[in-house]
Formats: sequence, structure tokens, C-alpha cells
Amino acid sequence: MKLTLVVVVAGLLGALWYVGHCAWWPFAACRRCGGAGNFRSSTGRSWRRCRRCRGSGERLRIGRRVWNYFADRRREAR
Amino acid sequence: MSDEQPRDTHYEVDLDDEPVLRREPVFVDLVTREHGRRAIVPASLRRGNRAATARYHAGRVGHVAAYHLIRALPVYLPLSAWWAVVGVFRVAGAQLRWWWVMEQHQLRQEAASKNDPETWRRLHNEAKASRLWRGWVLGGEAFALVTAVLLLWYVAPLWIDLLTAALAMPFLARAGRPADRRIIQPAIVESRYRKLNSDIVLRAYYAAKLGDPDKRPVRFGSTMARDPQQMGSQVVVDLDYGLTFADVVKARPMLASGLDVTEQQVFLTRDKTSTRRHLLYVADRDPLAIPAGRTPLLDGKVRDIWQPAPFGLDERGRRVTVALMWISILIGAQPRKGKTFSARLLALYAALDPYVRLTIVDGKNSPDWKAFRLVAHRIVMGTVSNPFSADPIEELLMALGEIIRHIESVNAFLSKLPATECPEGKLTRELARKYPQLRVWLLVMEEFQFYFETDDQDNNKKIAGMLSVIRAAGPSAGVIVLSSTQKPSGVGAGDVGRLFNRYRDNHDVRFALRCGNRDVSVAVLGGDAYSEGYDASALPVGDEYRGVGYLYGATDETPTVRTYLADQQDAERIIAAARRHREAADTLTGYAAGEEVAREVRDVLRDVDSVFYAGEAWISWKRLAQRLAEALPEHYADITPEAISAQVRGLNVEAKKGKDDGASLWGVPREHVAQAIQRREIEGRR
Repeated sequence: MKLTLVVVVAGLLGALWYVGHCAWWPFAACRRCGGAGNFRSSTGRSWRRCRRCRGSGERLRIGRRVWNYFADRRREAR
Repeated sequence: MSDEQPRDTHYEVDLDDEPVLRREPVFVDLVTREHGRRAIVPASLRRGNRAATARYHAGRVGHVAAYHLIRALPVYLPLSAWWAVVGVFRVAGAQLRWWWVMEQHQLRQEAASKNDPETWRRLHNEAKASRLWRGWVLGGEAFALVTAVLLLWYVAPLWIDLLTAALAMPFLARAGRPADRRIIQPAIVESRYRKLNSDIVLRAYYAAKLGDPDKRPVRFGSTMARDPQQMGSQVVVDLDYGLTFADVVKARPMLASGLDVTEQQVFLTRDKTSTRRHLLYVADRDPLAIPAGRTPLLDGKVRDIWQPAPFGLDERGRRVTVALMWISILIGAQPRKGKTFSARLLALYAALDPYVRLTIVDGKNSPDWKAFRLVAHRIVMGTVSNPFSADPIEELLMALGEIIRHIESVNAFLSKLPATECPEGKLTRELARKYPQLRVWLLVMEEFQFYFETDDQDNNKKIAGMLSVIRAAGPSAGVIVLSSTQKPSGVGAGDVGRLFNRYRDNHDVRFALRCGNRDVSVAVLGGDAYSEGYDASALPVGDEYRGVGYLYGATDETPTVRTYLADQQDAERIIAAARRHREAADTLTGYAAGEEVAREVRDVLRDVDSVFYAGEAWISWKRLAQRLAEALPEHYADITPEAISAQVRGLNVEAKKGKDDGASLWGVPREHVAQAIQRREIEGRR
């Protein structure tokens, strides 16, 4: 029991830490384009926008989504 | 001070604004003299005081620590535990109320009552949003709590569990306990006092007709403050124009009633700047009921008659002293009010100065003054023959005569002194110590009215005359007169009565304890004191008020004094010390010196027998006194015929008249003396 407890608590703390980190650094590279935003041909003349990130190259981290959810609830409550 | 109304002044030029006077309570620090400058190092931290200050604070801390330590286990712990449990539920309830936005409940209900659906809707939606967020917060808190509990239970060692409980319990107990029942009661309770409130003061003044809220407002010239000794509250009061300090003094009883205190607790001091302004001081307790304590003379140290004698404390707790030189004091009161104790207090002070001679005359022959046997030059007790004084009237006349002769000799001596020694022709401290003829003399006349009312009118007149002379001429020659009486008027008839009144009225200082009625008070204090408002019959009655009286004439003020206490034992102790000082200074005279002789058990009969010549059958008192003085000067040096007559007759020897050089005088036959000696041997010595 002791071990499972410690493991679970450690995992929770890690999750909290991750969310906190996301509050500080909200964006990460898009998974599809790897942060580039566009797919270029080898010549470089033709390019396509990444569908995932719509060309921005960034994605909102999951932890940040969690944070944003709570922030929105808080803003609404005021 | 802004003045909105138009100023009707006949000045052509506007006057400047009045300066704002700030009246603050004066910070009393007995060490500094500079007014306004506080001491750099407070009095409690100066050298000599530091040990006492440290002791005081250590004692206080120790007391508080001990008080709480002893209660920690049996009282604080169970109480805290119980209220902590209650606190858990209270905190939970508070949090649930917070979650459900119960503070908005009233508003929603109002909107519903007013049939206002839009407001209700809006409020409701806001509440829903709040609840969502707050729910998340509480959920997180619950989750963290559960985790913490699980961790504490399964993972943490016991001591961490206990520590957490110990840290959490005070907060929970604080949340759980009722608001009026503290768990930890303070160990030191500060004395409570009723703080003087401006409303109360105004109410008192308006009720006493010293102002009107609308037309003649009463204002304050200072903030309400506690006095420097922390014994009362004080404030400067400004009356309306037209009212004076005399009005306030007259209304003092009504003021006391309005302030809901006794009259003795209200003090009014006039203000030097204006007669419509005065300082109102209200004491917390009735100051006269607090006893002044035992006299400081109990330390038995040598005193100086040229310094003021400590007498007691006034209502403000300040020390009252009486400067004994050059004055005559009259003490008067009802019986059992402290007259003798007060008079004895001053006589004890004089006794502690070895260069003062005391003559004690006690008209009522009480044991109070018997202790002075050890230091007094002369003691006379009572008015009729008693075991102490064989012939009190004669002895009194002799004693008074001695004092009068002393006054004359002092004046003569002083006039002969060169101006270098005696610059103003007055007795000084150095002169009194240097010359034995110039000693200060204290005459105590206790219940002196008895001597004005003896059976023999001639004696009355003589005594009255001599006392008048002493009272008139004495103080300037260093003779202090201390008289006390419980019947200050209606004594004697005709000439004697007139002399009695003159004797009484011409004392300089009066001390009146509680008197029976106004007339007695006027007789003791004098008529002008009464018109100034001092009525000794208005002094409070009660056991705790014994020894409280008005001291009139010693200084410009007339303080109400609570005299120090010196009971019979204290008096004996002080007199024993006084006698040691006198022996050391070699100033024992008169009776006190003879007292030692009597303790050697002087056999008077044998002495008398021894001065008879061979074959002489009878001797007159006069001749006997002469012979004794010649034969035994160390014991009978200043014996008088009357004294030896009294002594011998007091030993049950019958006197007989006979012829001495043609004159028919009283005397004693040798036979009677021999018989008395024999009788004594048969019956055993008494």
C-alpha cells in the first residue's frame, strides 16, 4: 500500500509540475510539421501549409489547455 | 479655530487668529527637570535601577510562564482537542457555504420577491459560474487533503503525524471555540478603569447647569487623557463666557453625580490662563479610602526638626509634609478619629531628632504617650493624682514655667551672640546644635481643655496665662506647640474661656479630622477656612477613612491628608531608636535621663532617711530637697520640694507640719519614714 501510494503521489506531483511548466511555456512545436509550419519541396518552389498548425508551427501544450480551462472558469466566476 | 459668524468687534483692524494651545498631559519623570525634554535613558534603565527593573520583568515573565505551563496539560490540551473537533466541522461548513455562494442567496431571494426575473437570471448565472470554479478549488483541496491524510497514515513516521496534529490543532481550536470563551486566559489582568468619555463629561456639565448644549456649549481644551500617575483621567474643560471657576467649585457635587462617581473622586484645578477654563481630574477609586501606609519613620534613622516632617498622602498620592519649626499646630476631631495618632506622628518625628527636647502633657492620661517616657524631658499625665504623675497640675505648672524661662533665656542668649554667629538674631540649626541652651523644644498638649477646666480656678487661670505666653512667644524662640483636643469650644468661663479661645484661635496650622458638626469644624479650622469651603464635618465617615483630615495653614494649599499610620508598637520601636540616638548624642535630659535612674530602683525612702542628721526628728520638704541635691546630686540635682514631697507621700508616708526657722512648713518626721521602711520590708517590696 505504501509503495503504490508513494508512486501515485509522485505521479500527481509530476503532473502538477508539468501543468505549472506549461503556464510558463505554453507552446510547443507542431507534431506534424515539427515547428516548420510549411512543407517545402526539395527545390523549395512548392510548398504546402501544415494542416495541423495552419502554418503557425506551434501547438498549445496539453498542460496549457488544462490551465486555460481553469483560468477561464475563474474569469467567468468573477 | 475658524469662526464662521461675522465678528462683532470694535477693533478696526482684524485681530490675528488665536494660537492653538495644545494641552497635553505632562510626562512626569522625576529625574529630569527640563520641562518638555524626555530623558534619553529612561529612569528604569539607569544605574541603580537596572537590577530592580530586570528583577521585575524577569518576575513577570516567570509568573506568566509558570501560570501557563501548569495549565498546559490539564486544561489547555483537552480544551483545545475538544474545540478542534468542533472546529473541523465549522471550517467544513464555512467552506461549503463558500462553494455554494450562499452570500448571494439573499440577493436572489430579493429579486424573486420583487418579481424581477432578469436580475434573478443574471444572479443565478453568475452564481453558477462561481460555483463551478469554487467547486474545482474545493475539489482540489479535498483531493490534497485526502492525499495528505493517506500519506500521513501510511508513509509518514509517528512523530510527523503528531507534529502535524500539534500544528493544526491551535488553528482548528481557534475556529471551533466560542467567541467569548478563550482557552488561554491571560495570567496578568490589567486593572480596569472606567475611561472618561467626552459624552459623560458633557452630560455631567449640562446636568450641573454649567452650560447648555445649544446656547452655552462646553468645550474641551485638551484631549481626554490619563494622568501621569495612571490613577485617573483628566481633561481641560472650557466653559462658556460668563461662567467662572467659582461656579464650577460650587457645582462640584452635581458634577460628581453626573459623572457617576463619589464627590471625593472629582478634582478641579484652576487654569492659569483663564477663569473659564479648568482642569477636571476624576480619580478611578475613592482616593481617601486607600490607606497611606505606615510611617516612613519606622526606619528609625536620625531626623532633623529643621526639615519638614512626613505627615501623609493627599488625595493625589503626593506626599504631605509639615514643616515643624516656628509654628504651633492644633489638631481637633471627634473621639476615635485619629487625633492622638496624628499628634504622635509629629512628636515621633521630633523624638528622632536628638537635639529636640520634648515636653509631653496628656490631659486624658492615656497609654498612647507613655512610650515617650524614654525620650521626653518632662511628662505630665492626667489632671488628678495618678500612678504616673503624683501631682499633675503642679508638675504642669513647673513644666510650663520651665519652658517660659527657656524662651526668655533663649532670647537673651541670642541677643548677646555676635552677628557673625547669629546674623539675623534668629535661632538657626547650627546654633541649636551647638549650644545646649538653645535646643528646640516641642510642647505637646494632648486634650489640653482638661487643664482649663480643673476644679481650682486659680490654676486654670495660671495655666491659661502660661499657655498663651508660650503660644505667643514660643515659636519664634524655637518652641513648637502641638495641641490636640476633642472639645475645641465651650471650655471654661469668663476670663479662662476667653484665654482658651485665644489660645485655640492663634495656632498657625490646623489639622481637622472628622468633626461632629460645623461649629466644631469652625472652632478647629478657623472661620476663614469654612468660608473657603473646608468643612471637617463633611469628611467621609467610615473605618477606612480614619486619619483623613484637612491640613490648613501649613502651606498655601489645604490638602486632604491621609495620615501615615504609627500604632503603639510602631511608636515604641521608633522611640527605642530615638533613645539610642539621644544616648549617642548625649542629649538625654530630664525625665528620660531620670528614667534610667528609676530603673536602678532608687530607694527614695532610704535616701531621705540618710540625709537626716543624727537626732533630727523632723525635716521640711524644702530643706530635704536641698540636702538631697547636695548629697546625691546625680539623682536629685533638680529635685524641688514639691516633687520630693509628692514622691515621699506617694510611698505612703504621712506628712506633718512643723517649724523651720520660724516658718510653719510641711515636712516629714523621721519616724514616719522609718515606719514606712519597716512596713515595706514586712510586706515585701512592691
